[in-house]
Amino acid sequence: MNLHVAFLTFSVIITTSSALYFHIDETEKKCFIEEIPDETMVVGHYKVEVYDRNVNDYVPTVYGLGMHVEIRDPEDKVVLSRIYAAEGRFTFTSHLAGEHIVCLYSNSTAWFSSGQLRIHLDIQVGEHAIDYQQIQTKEKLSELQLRIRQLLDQVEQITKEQNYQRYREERFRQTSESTNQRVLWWSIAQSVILLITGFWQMKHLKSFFEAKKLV
Amino acid sequence: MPSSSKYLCFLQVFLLYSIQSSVSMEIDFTIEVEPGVQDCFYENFNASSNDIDIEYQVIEGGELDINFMMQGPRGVILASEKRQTEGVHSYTQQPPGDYKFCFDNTFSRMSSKQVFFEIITDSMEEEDEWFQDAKDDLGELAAIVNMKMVDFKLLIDRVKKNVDKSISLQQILRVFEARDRSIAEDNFQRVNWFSGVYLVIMISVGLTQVIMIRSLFDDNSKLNRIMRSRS
Repeated sequence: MNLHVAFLTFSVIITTSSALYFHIDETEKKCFIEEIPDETMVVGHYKVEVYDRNVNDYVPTVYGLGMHVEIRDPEDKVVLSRIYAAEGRFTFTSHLAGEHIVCLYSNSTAWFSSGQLRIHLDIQVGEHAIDYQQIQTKEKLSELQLRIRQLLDQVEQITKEQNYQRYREERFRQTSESTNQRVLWWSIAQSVILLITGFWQMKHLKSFFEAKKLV
Repeated sequence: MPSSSKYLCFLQVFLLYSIQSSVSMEIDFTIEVEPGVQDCFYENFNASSNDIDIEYQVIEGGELDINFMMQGPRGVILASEKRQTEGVHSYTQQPPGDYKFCFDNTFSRMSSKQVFFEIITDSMEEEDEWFQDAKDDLGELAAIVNMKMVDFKLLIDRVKKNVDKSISLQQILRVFEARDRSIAEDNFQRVNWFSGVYLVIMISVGLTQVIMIRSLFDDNSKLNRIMRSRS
């Protein structure tokens, strides 16, 4: 009975993990940028495999290789900095709207890299990050209620994203208007300076030649 | 076999089948590709026939261009673009295997590019399963709302589809806006920098002109001796 349940949950995990993977050296750091509104939950799953030269393929790590996950917020302050096992899940909720940087690097202490790592990574943002099974059991919702709850969460996410978009558009507009003003003022200032320089040159040279009695 | 484990076996097989037949996936990442570096990502598509959509856009950095290369299983090159700002590729009926996507910034020596990319695979309709489970609730609700169960289901499905469309449209707009904003900020910096440079150049040229002319007529200055020795 337990074996059946275990196999069921195991198969669910395997077939629904649809992650991208990439290769890095043991000492290399790989970063991803997530531009998200505030109070948004971000969940990341990763799995690390090591290149085994004997087998000529990537195998799951057996010795104590862990991944250091570091997440910085838009003000470059570290939000999360922890070492997880070779396969793990990290989650954080943003308090500021903006570009958050998620960095992964292995905690290998080698001075120069000797091995290649394959990292499977999946980052879900906002309503994709919510685990509805958990909510259903915790709040005892029926299927219909769960479905409507999903829709409500999605619409709330859209609203948050729209607010953030409005704030970014305002910043964009301010930058453009400031550029426009500066172009105008700098052009006027440069013309004025040119004229002043011209006048000064003429005056100075005239007085110089008069002093030299050439004029 | 006792009936409970027979039921569990059936459930396992059914679950495996239903999960594997609904392979809907949307992966999006924003990465920073350093100058002189090629970043590659791999994705494994399991189903016997996959519909793959990949879309990428350069958001920030330099001339906003990047090389893109997509390779299918067995090394077949599916796409290769040089120095594009954005690209959309759709492939249908692709064989299973590992697909490789590379963003190449090796042509640039100084500017790192921020690239947003999105990989979407076609989704099977897994949505109808919830309807089977929710039949009782829908019956109860239909009595209150005075609508047929099927109509209510269609209504909810339509809302979900529209909400999904809104979300993906929002994401596309967000990426476009990010790129435009980075261009505007670049312009701003450029205007500031070059205005200062021109100011300095103008004033120094003015001073240099005056000094040169003075030294032409000033017999005992250093510059005068240099100019005389030249002529």
